Amino acid sequence: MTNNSYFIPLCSLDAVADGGIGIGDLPDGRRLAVYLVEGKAYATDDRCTHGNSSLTMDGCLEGHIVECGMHLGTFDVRTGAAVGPPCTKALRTYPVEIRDGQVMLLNAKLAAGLKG
Amino acid sequence: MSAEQQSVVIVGAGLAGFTLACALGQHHYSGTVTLVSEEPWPPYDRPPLSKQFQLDGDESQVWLKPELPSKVKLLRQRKALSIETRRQELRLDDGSTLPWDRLVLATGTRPRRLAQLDTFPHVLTLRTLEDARAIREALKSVASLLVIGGGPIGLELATSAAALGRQSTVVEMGPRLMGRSAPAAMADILLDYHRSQGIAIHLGRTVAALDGGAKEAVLDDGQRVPAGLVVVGIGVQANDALAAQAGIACDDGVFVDGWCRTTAPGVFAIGDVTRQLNPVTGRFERIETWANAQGQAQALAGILSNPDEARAYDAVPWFWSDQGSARLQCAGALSGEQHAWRIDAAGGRLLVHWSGGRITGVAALNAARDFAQLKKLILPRTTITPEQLSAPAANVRALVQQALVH
Repeated sequence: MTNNSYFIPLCSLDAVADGGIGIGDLPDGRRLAVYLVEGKAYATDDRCTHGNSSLTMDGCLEGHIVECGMHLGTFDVRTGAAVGPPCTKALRTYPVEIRDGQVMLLNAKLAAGLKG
Repeated sequence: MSAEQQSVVIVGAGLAGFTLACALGQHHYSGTVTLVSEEPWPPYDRPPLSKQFQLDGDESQVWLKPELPSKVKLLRQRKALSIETRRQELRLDDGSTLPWDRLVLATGTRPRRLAQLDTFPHVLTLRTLEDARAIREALKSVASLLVIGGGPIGLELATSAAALGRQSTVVEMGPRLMGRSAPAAMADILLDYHRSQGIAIHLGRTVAALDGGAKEAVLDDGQRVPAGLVVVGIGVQANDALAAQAGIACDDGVFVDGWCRTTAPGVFAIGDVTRQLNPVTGRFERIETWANAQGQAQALAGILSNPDEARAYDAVPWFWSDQGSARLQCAGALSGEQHAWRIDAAGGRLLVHWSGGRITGVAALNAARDFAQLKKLILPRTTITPEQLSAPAANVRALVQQALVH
């Protein structure tokens, strides 16, 4: 990641309803799915590990479970774990925080560097 | 013997048999579980066989996951010969017999063939991993693929072959594509899509003859079409001989009720081989879908391991078919008394059918999120109106949630 800030803004809180899914575009062009559940934010890869559809496009959030609309498999957004078939492979999750009205991605590489 | 210690023998290690075996493991079923497979490899998933597997040949992506629990005994390359319902035994082709307290038939289906083409070496069908490997190998050395049958398997395969640079042709006897599985209006859109992708589609035609030397087929109207490889995809027949020989009620499929019971005590059936009550049409049908095989197996796992809390299986039938960038989904019935379209901002299309004031069918092309929502309204005595669905500003999810609350 070329971004050298500790937090990378992913998505404005205005753009994602509580209980909904927002789009988080990274500086390197990758897209993440951002979820807001009871005031807490989560983020995963946008692409379903099963059928390669977009969770921000085709997904639907119920509690902490995101259902991919294409084949109706499900994941837990807190852990990325596949919880309903046909999905079996976990989604990658990303550490995020809400700051200043934005869902921010914790720049893990940089954070690790600072700590090290 | 308590229900918890009974031996379960499952015949067939496709998705249904595999899912049941896994689920019994997860339910901590304390009896023995034996899975009998005719094939030499581990259980695998069929949807990739016509699509991704044809493109990349990556077998690591076809094995069903997770691995079978260690308590499940998988017998490979064993064919079940007969069921002794009185003695509760299953005879296998190696001369052994397996005793069972509960026998589950998950024997699936086999492709229908065209007898007049059977003598040609380059005419294949697609059902098993071995079939998929043979098609993939054959496609490497030919310039063209002819698919006979305009159903989901054929269209998926034609799409894969086109992506591999092969000239793809589909010949369908009926007046339209997807005659048994998708609404006519949705099939027309798919027809335009496939033709725009360079796939030649001949409707209302049959193959009159094959010219193996010229690698061509002659259609019933005299047209010649390229046919380096021919794949027949004209539907399937139930592998119900084992059940029929045991006196179990069958009619191109093993009859089961919502508890997956056949007409023989202690014998159950799940997956493509079953003929069950379709809760939407009210008819006994074979429901040849991934979701049904998986759902029926999950239901039976509950029925066998915890009968007091189990409920009958009555899920709304649905399927998907990924045909290149056309991603089709259909649930419930294919037609109704009333219908309405919705076309979303990204060009996705939804076609919803109503009968008797209730939603009975939903079809979607590249509109997966709203499909998943609207599918929930099939069967419940609640609905939205065609006007609500088609209103440009409508939020489908909010409409569905509202309807489900009322």
